[in-house]
Amino acid sequence: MPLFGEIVEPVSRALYIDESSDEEDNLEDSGTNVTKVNWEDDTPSSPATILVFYGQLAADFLQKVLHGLNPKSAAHLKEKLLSRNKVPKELNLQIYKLSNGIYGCFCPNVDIGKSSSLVLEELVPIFKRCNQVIVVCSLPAPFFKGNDSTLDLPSAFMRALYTSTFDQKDVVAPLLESPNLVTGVPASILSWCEVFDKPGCLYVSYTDSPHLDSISAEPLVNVFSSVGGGVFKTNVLSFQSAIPEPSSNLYI
Amino acid sequence: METKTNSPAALSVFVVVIISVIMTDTIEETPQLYYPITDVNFDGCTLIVPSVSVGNVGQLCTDLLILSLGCQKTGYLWHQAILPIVGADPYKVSSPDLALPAEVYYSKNHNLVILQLRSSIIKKLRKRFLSDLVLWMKSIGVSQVTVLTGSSNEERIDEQITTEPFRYLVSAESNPSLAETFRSLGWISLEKRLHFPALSKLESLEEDNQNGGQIVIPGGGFAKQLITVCTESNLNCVALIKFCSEGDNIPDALVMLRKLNEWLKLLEVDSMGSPKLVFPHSWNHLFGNPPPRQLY
Repeated sequence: MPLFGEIVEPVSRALYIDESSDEEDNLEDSGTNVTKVNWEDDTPSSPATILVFYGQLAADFLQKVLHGLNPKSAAHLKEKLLSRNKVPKELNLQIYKLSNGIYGCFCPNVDIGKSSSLVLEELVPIFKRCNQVIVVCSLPAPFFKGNDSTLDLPSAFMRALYTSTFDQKDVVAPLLESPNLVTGVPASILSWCEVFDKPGCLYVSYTDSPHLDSISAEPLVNVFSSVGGGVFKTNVLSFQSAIPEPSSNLYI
Repeated sequence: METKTNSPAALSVFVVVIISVIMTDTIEETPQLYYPITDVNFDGCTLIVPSVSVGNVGQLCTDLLILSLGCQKTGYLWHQAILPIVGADPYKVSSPDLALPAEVYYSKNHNLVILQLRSSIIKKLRKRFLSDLVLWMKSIGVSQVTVLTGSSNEERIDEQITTEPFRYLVSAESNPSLAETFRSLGWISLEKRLHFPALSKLESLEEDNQNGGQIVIPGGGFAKQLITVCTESNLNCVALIKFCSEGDNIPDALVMLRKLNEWLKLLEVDSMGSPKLVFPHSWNHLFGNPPPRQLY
């Protein structure tokens, strides 16, 4: 939400490709993307659940939780964007084996216009083999549209969307209200699950802080107390702060 | 002794087999675009598709049509070019159904197929998307494609400013009867322009004196390109264009729907000539949340 007096550029709901130039259709792709998932051991035959943590807050949560789990690094995906000036830009997507049959995927933010479909294409073979896909992402609380004004919203809360094949009983958060939308890699994964009849669930954590602390982590803790087949034990999930935030104005 | 494999006939067969193997390996198969939920025969239907354009007029109008006609969701489009989004059902409160970026709806009573697009098409993949889309349209046997689009108010020429801010675009050569129908409804065809953008005064005069020129739909998304691809594939296609600016575009969508209804007679009209509409509940928050009470 803009601050009082802040000048906010109006954006078009038609997004950035709203144009009419014929020449732009003939523009060549400025870069070539190369993505590949490298498994460190053998490719798992049939993982039960894939948990995808997308965005900074969800990734910080996974990193914090991983300390208590002693997971095994299972695979990583590297994407190289070879632009015209030949400067490779790498995207690291890590997959961890959290327990037997449960894999956690740490997916950093990617440019949806350039990479989301490529990332998805590499992950699809893994999704095809697993029983269900659960995605966790975070959005700023002011982005939430509802009947309450932004200032009356809680500091952190969770909403969920799930596919028609996902068991409703396993969803541990209220349904995301229309017209709220989720974009990017989480949306592409859940859309794929719906179109190709794979049970999938997306948890969206709305927080007013981009940093992981006891307040912003609370909805994630609540969800993972019941999700993940008991992998996330209570002692693992109880923490105050994952990132050392400055607690004083004088010293770090 | 000459072996069998060295004979000219055997060699030619061998070469043909090799060539056919190479060709089947190199020819790209058309990827599946449509994933049905239920089996429906679309043969002979009219297909309505919004172009993601200025003001999202086409998409708003499509939302109104789907809900007001009580259309049934029949499947999804899946293509690399469509930017991903996901949300809750925009038409039913508390429904667990998902809203995906490209959904296909059907009304049996009106012989109508509606493609609702909720996100943009990646620019560099637009050409491929449109050719795949037209291939699918032809494969399901639709008889007529109608594109609903907005166009930028600020790019209008004098004739467009002084007349009703609505135009149609149809290739008269491919479909003269449709052009005649639109003329009988009092609609105005989209004017051709000699120069675009930023006309100087002299160029405007020059433009007035010449019949030539090009079709431009500023801010109209893929509408013009879709018409071109449809025409190349011998598929009837018409674009309905509403001039508008970004803002509250619900009135523009209502105008578009009234025009569409004048032509296709889809919805019943009241004594004032307005179609009976049902508004989606998802429109309640088009302009954000209510203001904070602490302000007052």
